[in-house]
Amino acid sequence: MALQTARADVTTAPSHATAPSHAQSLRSDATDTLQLSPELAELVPGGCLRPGGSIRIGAGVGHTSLLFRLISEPLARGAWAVIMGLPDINAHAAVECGVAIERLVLIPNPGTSWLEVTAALLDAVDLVVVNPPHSCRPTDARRLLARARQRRSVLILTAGNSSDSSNEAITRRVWPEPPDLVFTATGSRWQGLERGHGCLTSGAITVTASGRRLNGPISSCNLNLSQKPGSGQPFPPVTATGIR
Amino acid sequence: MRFLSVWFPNWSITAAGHCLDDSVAVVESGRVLHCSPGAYRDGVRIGQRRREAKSNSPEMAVLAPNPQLDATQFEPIIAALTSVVARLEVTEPGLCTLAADGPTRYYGGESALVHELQEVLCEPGIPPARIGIADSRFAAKLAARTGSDGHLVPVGSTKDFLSNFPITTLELDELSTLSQRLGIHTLGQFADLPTRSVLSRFGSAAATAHALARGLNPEPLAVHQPNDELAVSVELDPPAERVDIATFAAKQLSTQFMEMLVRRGLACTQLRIEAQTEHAEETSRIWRATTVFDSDTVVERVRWQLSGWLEASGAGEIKPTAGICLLRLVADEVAGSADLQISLWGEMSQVDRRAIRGLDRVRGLLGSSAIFTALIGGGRSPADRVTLVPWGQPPPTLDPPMPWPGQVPNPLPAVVHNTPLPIEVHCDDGPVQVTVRGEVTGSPQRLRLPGGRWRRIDAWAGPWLVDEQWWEPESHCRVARFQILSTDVAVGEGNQQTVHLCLVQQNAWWIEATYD
Repeated sequence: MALQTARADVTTAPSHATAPSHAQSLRSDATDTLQLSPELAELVPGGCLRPGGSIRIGAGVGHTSLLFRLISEPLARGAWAVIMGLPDINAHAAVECGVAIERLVLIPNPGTSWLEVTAALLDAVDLVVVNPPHSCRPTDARRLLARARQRRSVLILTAGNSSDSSNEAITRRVWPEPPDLVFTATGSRWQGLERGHGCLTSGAITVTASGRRLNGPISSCNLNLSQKPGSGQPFPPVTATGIR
Repeated sequence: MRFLSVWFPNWSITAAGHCLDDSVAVVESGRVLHCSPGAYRDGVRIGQRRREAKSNSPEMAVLAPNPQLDATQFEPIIAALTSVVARLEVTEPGLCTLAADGPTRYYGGESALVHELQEVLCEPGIPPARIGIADSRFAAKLAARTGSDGHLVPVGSTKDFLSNFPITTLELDELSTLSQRLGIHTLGQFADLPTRSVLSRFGSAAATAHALARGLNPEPLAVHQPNDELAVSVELDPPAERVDIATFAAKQLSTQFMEMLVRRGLACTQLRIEAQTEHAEETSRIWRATTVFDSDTVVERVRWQLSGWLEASGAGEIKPTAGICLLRLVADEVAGSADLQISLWGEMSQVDRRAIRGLDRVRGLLGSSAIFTALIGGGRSPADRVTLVPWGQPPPTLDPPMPWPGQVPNPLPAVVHNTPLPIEVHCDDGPVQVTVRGEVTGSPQRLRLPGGRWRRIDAWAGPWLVDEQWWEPESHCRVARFQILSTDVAVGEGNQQTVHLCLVQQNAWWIEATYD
């Protein structure tokens, strides 16, 4: 009987070929929503994140701001993102970077079941940012990547805030699979501070991209952290009136 | 306004060439979707499991749903009907509606119009149709379903006609269950409720249903015909010979169409699809949505219409002789989209709904105190301004964001340490201290985390004093803040400079946040 039902389903299938399958229809405009902000868009082909791909954000001063910049444009276009395992990020700074906070979900401490949670998150949202709390077996990593490919979501791995994770070997052990793209904040410049006076008015980081999937010769760009992405307008000059 | 509905009972069965007296059922995913009167007599019911239906009626023929065939078979009927009336709205294959006022005047009476239509529907090969006329679309449809050979509801008595139908006719499950528990079983009882109470108790979907039950065309939709033509079109080069190729082009076109409407804050309730071939043959059809059209349903209608046209098989049918070179979508009737939030989820997109479902599941895995959304409120320190709200809980009332004197100005630190990191800050003469008057005892030269390397301080600003809640001895806190730019000398000069937001409290130094 079960076989018969299965056959009936098979005969049903062609008439449904008109409507794309559920998962696909949800992501039909995925490449549109995964567009990057103008500065980062120059680094990758098409200027967008590839649905089903993986990205690593390398350690370095400015990597949190880089993460915010990376997810801000997709979120503004209606995508959802989850940041997992980064308890210290400042959501307010994310908003200042142009992140649509209503579609950003935070899981500060996923605990021991982070693999399972990541898999569930890949089903649910377009961008999953993970700071793996401990090292991950190659089989598990591959399974997560396969899930991301199937659900056409993007897995973004970060090195967290620990300064010692700049060591490539440690990063490799935590996440054994090579990602499509690695974005690293390689330089930072801060302005406004003097010896004993002034206050921080602006900052900029240099972002370098490497990996399998790059856009030809351009491999680095500058991000002005005191500018909302795409606005071209610097923040209004800061005066000390707010300070008592 | 009078409306006329033409309804073909069990269209998907008759379209497949079966007689209604035979035992036939359309089965999808193991459940009966439609069944013929013949099968019904044997005990087959809609929603029954396939196996059970088969045991009730062993010789029952089982069909798979085939919307394309339904549409193709309906095409000649539409052609026949449009020879009598000019403007026909197709809701779905098997059901179409028309505004009856004009044709009634033309043919000299409603019964004459019905007679005229029955005449053309008498052709061999056309399954038995039912016709109903009433004051609203909804009532006309029901009138067509009740009368065996056409049912004319007199002008003004539509409400009485509807009053005896069960409330389930509205096909709103939630509303029907609730109303039945409240003792409201018929449309008449429902219609007698005051509109205002229905709206406040059951929401806008029920308000629409209430209008239907009173024999009105739902007014809240604020439906109107657009002043300027809202249309998008695409030229196909090379011309599309096959339906699937044309449908592919229609996908993009429908997205464009929806975007155009959304930009104007409109939703389309009635759509005209036009196509033209290289030999200037044309098809134009009006489609009516059950609620409103979205991108997918538009594509589906295009597919139905084009497959009916390109694969015309009827006798008197003219099959186009060339490929389709122009496709055009015209919004025939639009409504303000804000009025159309019929579902509980309002204007949420599919992606939003999927995310919410998935995140609910993650909350199940982790517990509700592990997954959060962030809200930004007011506060002096960066940590005070962000409130994490557990997923799925209503947001609390926050301190207003402005103004907070003593706030650290923008840019904001990207990292705020949940537990501040203790540090040592030294000048040439040893540890730096902040005096009661808010002055530093020396210019900070270097800092380190306990046990860490010394970092050179390149620039600093502060102290900025904050005397919070001095009126409360318990929570009184007097702190000084600094911004400190430092370089790790051991790593090399480079550009790896870091700015920390530091905090001094009772001569102990902490890193509160990092510009990262």
